[in-house]
Amino acid sequence: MRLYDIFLLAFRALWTHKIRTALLILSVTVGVAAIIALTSQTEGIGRNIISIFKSLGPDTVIVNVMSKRLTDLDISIIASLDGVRKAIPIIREVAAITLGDTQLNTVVYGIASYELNEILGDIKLIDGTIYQDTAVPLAIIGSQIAFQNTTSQPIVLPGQAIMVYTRGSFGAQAQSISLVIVVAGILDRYGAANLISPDTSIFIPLQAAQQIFNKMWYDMVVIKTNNVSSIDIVEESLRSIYGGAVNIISPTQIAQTMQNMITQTSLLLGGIAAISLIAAALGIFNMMLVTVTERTREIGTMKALGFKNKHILAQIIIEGLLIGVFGGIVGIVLGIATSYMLPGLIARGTAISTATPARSQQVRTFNPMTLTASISYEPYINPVIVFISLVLAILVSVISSLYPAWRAAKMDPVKALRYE
Amino acid sequence: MAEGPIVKLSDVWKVYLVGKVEYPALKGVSMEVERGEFLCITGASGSGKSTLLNVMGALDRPTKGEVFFENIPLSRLSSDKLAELRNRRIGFVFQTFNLLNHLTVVENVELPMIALGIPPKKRRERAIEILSKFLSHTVIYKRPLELSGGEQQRVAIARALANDPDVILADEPTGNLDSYNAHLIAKIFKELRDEGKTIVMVTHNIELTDYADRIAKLRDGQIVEIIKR
Repeated sequence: MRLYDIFLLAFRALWTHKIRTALLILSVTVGVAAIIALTSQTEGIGRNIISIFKSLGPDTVIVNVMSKRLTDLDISIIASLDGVRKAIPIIREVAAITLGDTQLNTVVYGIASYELNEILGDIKLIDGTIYQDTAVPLAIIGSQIAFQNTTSQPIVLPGQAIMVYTRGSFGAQAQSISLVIVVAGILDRYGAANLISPDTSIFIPLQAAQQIFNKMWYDMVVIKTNNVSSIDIVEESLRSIYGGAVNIISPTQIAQTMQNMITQTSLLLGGIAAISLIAAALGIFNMMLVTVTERTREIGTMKALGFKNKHILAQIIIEGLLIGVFGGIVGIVLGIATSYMLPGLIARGTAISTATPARSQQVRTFNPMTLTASISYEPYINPVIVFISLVLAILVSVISSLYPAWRAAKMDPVKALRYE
Repeated sequence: MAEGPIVKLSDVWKVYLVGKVEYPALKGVSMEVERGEFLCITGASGSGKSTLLNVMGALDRPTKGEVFFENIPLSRLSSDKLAELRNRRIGFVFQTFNLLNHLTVVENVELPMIALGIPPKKRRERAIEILSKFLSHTVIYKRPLELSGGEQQRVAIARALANDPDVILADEPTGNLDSYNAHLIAKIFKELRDEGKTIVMVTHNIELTDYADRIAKLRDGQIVEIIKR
């Protein structure tokens, strides 16, 4: 008997029970689609976050103040450490701005204009210019502030003023401050958040920040090392000087840690999705047993006509194989389609969850220090996962068919022919 | 071609176990089926006719005794070899036609050739050629359930002839047919006998035994009489 004919007979047998076959294929499809869709999200999110951390540069170390004020002297000390190429002082203040009748939370960063590219990479302005380093409160603002989720026209243009409300930080001296900032430029969309989220931030000159917030110290220092191998030395030096008074972050190390976490999360989610394939396997097993019983007389007839046990065995197994192949292929298509739909749904879901009415229905707030408010990512379809899913689908379907196939092959032809 | 009977049974017993009770369906049957004869097996229900046919056709193994097909003892053949024997040398026709309803008429006829590994084009040509002897060309791409009982049984006969077997074993082939179609089927078997095929037909219908060369009467698992016509 030719292999082609075994496939043909198996296909014709499946085609006879279209609805039953479609349901079996669907059960496999769901499992495969779930594996691909879920793992593509975690891998996509992970790769996006890691790329953001890496965009700060693999040679970067960030120092955040905890219980110590970093002054110009500290900046000089840090800059003089072995392995340090540059120390960039930054002032940071959480603030609220009012645009029309919408209030938004944001973060104002005071940073020298010539250091902006160290933080933002390429400075992508869609309108206006970068500010000059003076005490005048000129600002470049993030795209989400300018566009307020509208895609057409910005609600604020370069040259226009915006009101910023903030509270002076650092304990007992805290006081409310309101100030007018003039927009110098609007940043293009940078996408997902990182330690500094450009889309939801306002950048002003360092001198202006010092004057406005009345701060002669810095809230964070971005350190550029000579090379990646210097990071450990610089971190060690910083710890020996400041102990626990500052928080030291290395984006490269974070990226590595996150990579491990994402891999584990992908495995976990993939494993959970794979459980649905086990459910599919039980369905196929059950249905194949029913099918074999229903086809008892047909099997008896085939044996009488000269089909060998191995032919019967092969036909039933190939029926399982075809269910696995079709289910796997449809599952891959569905999984990829779902993968690209999910980011939009997740973004919509998180936008709703983070929107907090403050004054009226139109008032929206967001926290720029969280990842979720401005998260956007491309799902990553891992070809290895796709391949493994297809193999799993086929394997599960074939294994589920083995026992029913064996039962069919071992049927006594005389009893099978008498079966009512 | 081998000499002597095409099928020979020597003291064949077939005992079924029903629960713990042994039920002998055949009790020491010895007989020969001559090459090119039309043999009818008759007897009351439960006399062992179908069991005898199954044993002759290598579908069932006797509990005791031996069945020879062209002097080859079937007990020595593996189940695969028996399947090959059934495929190449024996054609079966059943009372309930046993056509696969999800296949077309012509595909049903192709089945034994599929098992033999004949290429699609060749087997399709052969299937159509055989079918054209018994049925109109218009029915060959229909499903079996679209045909009358008589037409279905003719399809089953065409299927039995697919691999040009030496022996046709028919188990009550007219049991589900009206008198006209029953005689039509019996005539077909007679014509096949005339073409050199060996026919063994189990039947209740005494009228149809007129077409046979010999009639074997079975009672309680034993041959009680063989009538040569």
